[in-house]
Amino acid sequence: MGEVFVVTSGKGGVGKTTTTANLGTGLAALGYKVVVVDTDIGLRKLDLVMGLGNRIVYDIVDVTSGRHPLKKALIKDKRFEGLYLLPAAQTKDKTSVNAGQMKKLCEELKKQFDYVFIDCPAGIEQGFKNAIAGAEQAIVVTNPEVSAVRDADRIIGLLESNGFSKPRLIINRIRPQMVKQGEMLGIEDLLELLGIELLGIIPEDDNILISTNKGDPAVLDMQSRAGQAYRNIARRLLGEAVPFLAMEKPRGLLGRVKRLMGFK
Amino acid sequence: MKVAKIQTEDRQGKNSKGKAEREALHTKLFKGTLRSGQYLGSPGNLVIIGDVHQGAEVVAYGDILVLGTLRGTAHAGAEGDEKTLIWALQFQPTQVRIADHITRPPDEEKKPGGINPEVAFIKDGLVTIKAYPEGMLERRKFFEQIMEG
Repeated sequence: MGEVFVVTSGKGGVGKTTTTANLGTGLAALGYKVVVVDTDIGLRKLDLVMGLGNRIVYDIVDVTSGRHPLKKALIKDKRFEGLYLLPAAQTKDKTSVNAGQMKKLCEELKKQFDYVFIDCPAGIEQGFKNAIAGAEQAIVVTNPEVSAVRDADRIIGLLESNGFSKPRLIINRIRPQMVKQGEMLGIEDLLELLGIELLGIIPEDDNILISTNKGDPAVLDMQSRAGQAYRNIARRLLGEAVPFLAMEKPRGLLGRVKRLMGFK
Repeated sequence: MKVAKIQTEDRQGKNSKGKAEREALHTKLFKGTLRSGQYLGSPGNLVIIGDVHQGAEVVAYGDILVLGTLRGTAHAGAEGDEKTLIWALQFQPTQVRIADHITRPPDEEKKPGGINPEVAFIKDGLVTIKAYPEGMLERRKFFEQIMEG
């Protein structure tokens, strides 16, 4: 039976879709059977980031409405055997699916895959409610930036009141130089404000933009720092103790977090 | 009125009219952290064992005590009682309201962590924020000030 993760954030544009694509691809590259699911109905993007946009025939609404079987809608990745995409519909909106249908879908996907990653849309309304309906674990993505953090806190509150006991945090697009100069929130600040377990830290990296445009997730790029960060997170999801990328001088809290995360 | 009589007879410290009524207020004890978007209210006093995150709101007709970090908005004396107070172990609220006074703390940089207990109350018609001091004499003065109400 597979594990179902929802990747959420509250605020848009912080890196949910990028994270879903890269973690999914990263685990598939390690040999696991993975499906990435786009629930951003009406504003789909996971297909673009995966580079599979021109292979879509059927989508998630076709499946949940019963019009077409899941098998037909799943798109096999062009690089990895065990990696599949279930795209969102573009011509509909988030009211086309409900939480009950999502739950059923996730139960079905769990049987066929080792890992299910659900790319959650921005916001706290129907899209969010749909995305969390079938998930068991939550990954919250945020940027080191005040509006992202406030939205992340809101989303964590909603996750906790919906039964997700231990959502985990990915800090995305951090710029170590700006943190050092006191111009950007640092890792310790974010952990202090959000108070959940840290899963990963991803540095700002131009390669992400390039890889998105090409449809080749950065996790496959050995030159990319963000790619390296995603590779590390994938291994952490598997239970491996991977030290965080050296980005800041390890101060008190960070050292403690490292011990908590990596060397239990 | 019987309650007021008992208070003034038995207690040796300073006391003021009406305080007994306030002391008869129910106190709600909440254990947990409030995240952004969450709200907690009390028709009496409110004690929170946990943090109040920015974007969360706590409202009481009486006093508010946060045994944690207060980063959100707190409103004591919401019915109009100006003799209420707001106390937190780490006092960094977005906004402080006592009765119909609204104020926000100064913009100075505060370290995210740490324990610096402070109290907000109304003194001479203005919302005042005082830090819990070290030293016995300072503490006596401190308690006198916040209990002046």
